[in-house]
Amino acid sequence: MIWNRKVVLLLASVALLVVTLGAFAETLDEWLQRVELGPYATETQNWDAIIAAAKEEGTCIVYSSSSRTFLASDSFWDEYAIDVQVYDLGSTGALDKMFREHKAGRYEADVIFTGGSEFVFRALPEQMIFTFVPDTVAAYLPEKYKNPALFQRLSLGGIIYNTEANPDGPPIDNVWDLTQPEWKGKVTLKNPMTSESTFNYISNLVNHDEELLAAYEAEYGTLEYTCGIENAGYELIYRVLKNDPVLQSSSADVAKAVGTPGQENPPISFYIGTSKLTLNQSDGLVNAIADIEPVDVQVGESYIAIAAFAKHPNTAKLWIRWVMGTPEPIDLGLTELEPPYYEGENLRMLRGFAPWFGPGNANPMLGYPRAQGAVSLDPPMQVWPLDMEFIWENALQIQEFWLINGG
Amino acid sequence: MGEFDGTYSETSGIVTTLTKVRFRLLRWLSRPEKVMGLVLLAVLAVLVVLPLIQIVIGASTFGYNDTRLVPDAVPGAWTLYHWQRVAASRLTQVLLVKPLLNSLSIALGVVLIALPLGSLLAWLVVRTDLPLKRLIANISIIPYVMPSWVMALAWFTVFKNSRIGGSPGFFEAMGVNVPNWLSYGYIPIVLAMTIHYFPYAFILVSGAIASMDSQLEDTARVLGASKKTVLRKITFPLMLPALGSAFVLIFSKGLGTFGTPAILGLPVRYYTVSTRVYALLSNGIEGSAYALVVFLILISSLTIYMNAKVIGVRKKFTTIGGKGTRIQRMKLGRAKIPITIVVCTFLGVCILAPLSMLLLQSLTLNGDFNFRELTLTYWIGAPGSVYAANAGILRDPYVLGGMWNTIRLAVISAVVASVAGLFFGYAVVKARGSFMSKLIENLAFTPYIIPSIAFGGIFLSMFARSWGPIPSLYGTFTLLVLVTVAKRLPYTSRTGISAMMQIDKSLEEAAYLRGASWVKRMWKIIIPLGKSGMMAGFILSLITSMRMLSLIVLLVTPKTRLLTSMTYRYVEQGFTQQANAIAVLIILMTLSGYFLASALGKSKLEHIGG
Repeated sequence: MIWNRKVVLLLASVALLVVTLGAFAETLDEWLQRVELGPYATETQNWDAIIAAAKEEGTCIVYSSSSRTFLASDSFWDEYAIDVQVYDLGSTGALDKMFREHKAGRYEADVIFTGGSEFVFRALPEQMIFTFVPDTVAAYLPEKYKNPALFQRLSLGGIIYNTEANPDGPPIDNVWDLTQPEWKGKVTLKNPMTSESTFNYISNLVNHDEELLAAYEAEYGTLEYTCGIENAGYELIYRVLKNDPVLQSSSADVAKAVGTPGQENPPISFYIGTSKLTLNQSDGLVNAIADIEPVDVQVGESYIAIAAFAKHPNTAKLWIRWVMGTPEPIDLGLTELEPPYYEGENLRMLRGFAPWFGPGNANPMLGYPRAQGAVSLDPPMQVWPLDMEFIWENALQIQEFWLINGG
Repeated sequence: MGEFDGTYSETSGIVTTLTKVRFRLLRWLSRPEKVMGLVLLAVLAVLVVLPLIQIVIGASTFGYNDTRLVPDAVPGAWTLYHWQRVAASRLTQVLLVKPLLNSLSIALGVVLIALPLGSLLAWLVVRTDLPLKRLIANISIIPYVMPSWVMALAWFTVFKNSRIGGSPGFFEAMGVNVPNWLSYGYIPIVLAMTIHYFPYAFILVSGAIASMDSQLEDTARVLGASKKTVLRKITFPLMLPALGSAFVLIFSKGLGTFGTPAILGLPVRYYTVSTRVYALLSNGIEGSAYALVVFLILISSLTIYMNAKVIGVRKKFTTIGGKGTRIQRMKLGRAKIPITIVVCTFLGVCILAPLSMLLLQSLTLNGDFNFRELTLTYWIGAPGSVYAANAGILRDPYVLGGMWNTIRLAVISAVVASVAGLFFGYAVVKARGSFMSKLIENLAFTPYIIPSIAFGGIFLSMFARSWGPIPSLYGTFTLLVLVTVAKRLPYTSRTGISAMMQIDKSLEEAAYLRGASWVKRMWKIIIPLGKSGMMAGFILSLITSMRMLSLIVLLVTPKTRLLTSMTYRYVEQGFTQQANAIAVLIILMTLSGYFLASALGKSKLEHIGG
């Protein structure tokens, strides 16, 4: 009897050890195979199975750059009763935290939800994150918005001005006007040194030398380079810096500075993310994106992907499907929605995308309706998409330039 | 050993030496402070020396992002790139020289105002018959227990001018034009930081004044010296070491502060070393950030060294020696009422006014100064009534979880830190004068001069991985406790040391001769007698750990979130009311912790100066 018990115990321990070791030793490939990602990704998904599995998985961890993600996790809970913990880390923090954790073999995050060139040029190629495109939206997304990375939203970067003080339209018609003496100390932007998403709009200017040069010459004649580099983008950044810009810590602060009504001589912004145009509704601000030469909006992006070795992969997939929204409004033929967006029928139809639905963001699906007052991204609107490859290769050099010249 | 055969052989010499060594080792091991010293050194090696080495390594190797700047860089490879970039490149001026000059002038400005102010107040409270002492002392410490950037926010609320745009500050709203130099940059940073640090000077100096025997002064006066002469010849020289170390302590704190310069400097692009470090870390250029940190540490060390050379920090007063220190309280006479009014006005304007301003603003709908429609929405609003934060802070489970974590962390780390402080004190004081004692004391002080933001980052890299039997601590509460205790070591070891210095060693020797074991001596003599000092360490750690931000900002995970990390996000996103409400909450929690602990432990902060 005793001997038998010992054998059973021994066998049980060996079995346990094997199972434990096996669990620890799951390779990336095995994980990918199990959760059907990377090379094992399928075109379509069995959502019933995913939902059932997600309900078993427990709390899913999301590293995000947007505070609105909290709202989406609330509505996600209302829909599925599955807990998603959002960690709001800013555009550089979300990736940085994951990099440090992965380096140490810690796989805390399930979903990475942020912008930035490191997402595409470091995290993806190094297999720290994996793109997952829900079949519910895949057909509506242009290839560039789902490969290599999935775009959750397009973030419009623009120059915002106070419409109450400027009832006849923007007080400038050319971006070079901001370098003139009358705007000295009156141009404001979010500190780009601590916000990668903001700096991207600045870096992207350097990539548009010709257009900026043409815009200058059209209004001011020959451009004399004073910054030491023969590039109109650098020259513009240099002259804006020499015009005593006012830096702020958040884009909400910039929106409030520019768009608080009742100001005699309100400032104007430089290129910043315009998602805080929603404050027009909630806080009674009077901001609008300025329509100017040579570019009206620069289009940035926020990506979403599943982190390697995520412990809650099914919840992660369901969550990604949730924040992408559904093509329902497209199928209904809607082109513009009336506010408010975060309640009632709008909230139901927009699903997890509702928190971002507003004039400063756009859903990457073709034909998705716009928010009231949102700018069109079609001609004659002058739109520059952010060139992430250019940014990946040049942003740090441009940052040095920014620092040296007083930024 | 064999019998002595009349000749000294080589072997027997060695044997004798060996025996001597063994004997010495045994004797050495029988001295508990030495063994404890070894254990503490091992702890310090992990918590202080390793992080320092990591900083230097970080500054001397390529990081991943560096490959974007230097095409042939290999991540992890040794390089002088960052040293050169910081100290000898076209970036030197903007990364090192200007920010360093700014940091130095801020630190100097702060210490030159805060030290006289704090000392004067300390003297008034400890050595005169000023009325309302308790109240004045208690209000004075408030700015020190709040997050330093709260003062910066309050400054904005009051002095913000039209340069920024948006809703005006208090004075502009009243129709007063505020010049830029008063709204942003050097002057506001120095003043806001002075309000934060003068209580620290008050604490440090009042401890020294309280322990100063006034009999010396009395004797001089009896011998016919004038008040002026007494002050110049006796009071000041006696105070000098305390003033000197207070100077250095405040100065090095001022050098590394991040929050206030970040908020008040940004609108006019006024940068300090710490804000540059933060920006570099944010952009993943860690090597340059750590190189800057090394420069900051070197300058702080230099200040401390110079202070030790010029004044000599080691001069100590004999305090508890059974000689009966007597404090003669000077009568303020006719000046009493005017002085009281000046002190109260000062405290009211500098402390109570900004605090009420924060509280009031958290009660307004739009964060402006329209006080006609006050609301409790941001405090107790129902779920869904507050944008993005869902509910008022007291009904938001996320905030409540952070509150619980904050309290837990503060209490646990304060207990650990104060007990550790006592051990440090024991090991240092009992072996006074030995190399080990000096080494422990200096190493324990080192975290003081490492900027919190870098310290937290290093702890993240160090403890995210496992080290042999030590599992990875990242994401655990233990790591937060560890980093907090490590960063508080300079304070708790100081209180521990000064507590131990006050215990006459003859007490323990007597017990030793009576055959009491070390544990018994510790339990029956050292701990009971050192309790008050330990309590002071406990309180200091408790009240300062609730407000810390840059130390833990990289280490918190959703499960271990803290109130401060949440407020900072609110500040960054421009959710003024929630940020202010949480700041008020932190201050209230800290103060209740302080009063509760002082009531329980019958200990006051004045003991901390030592």
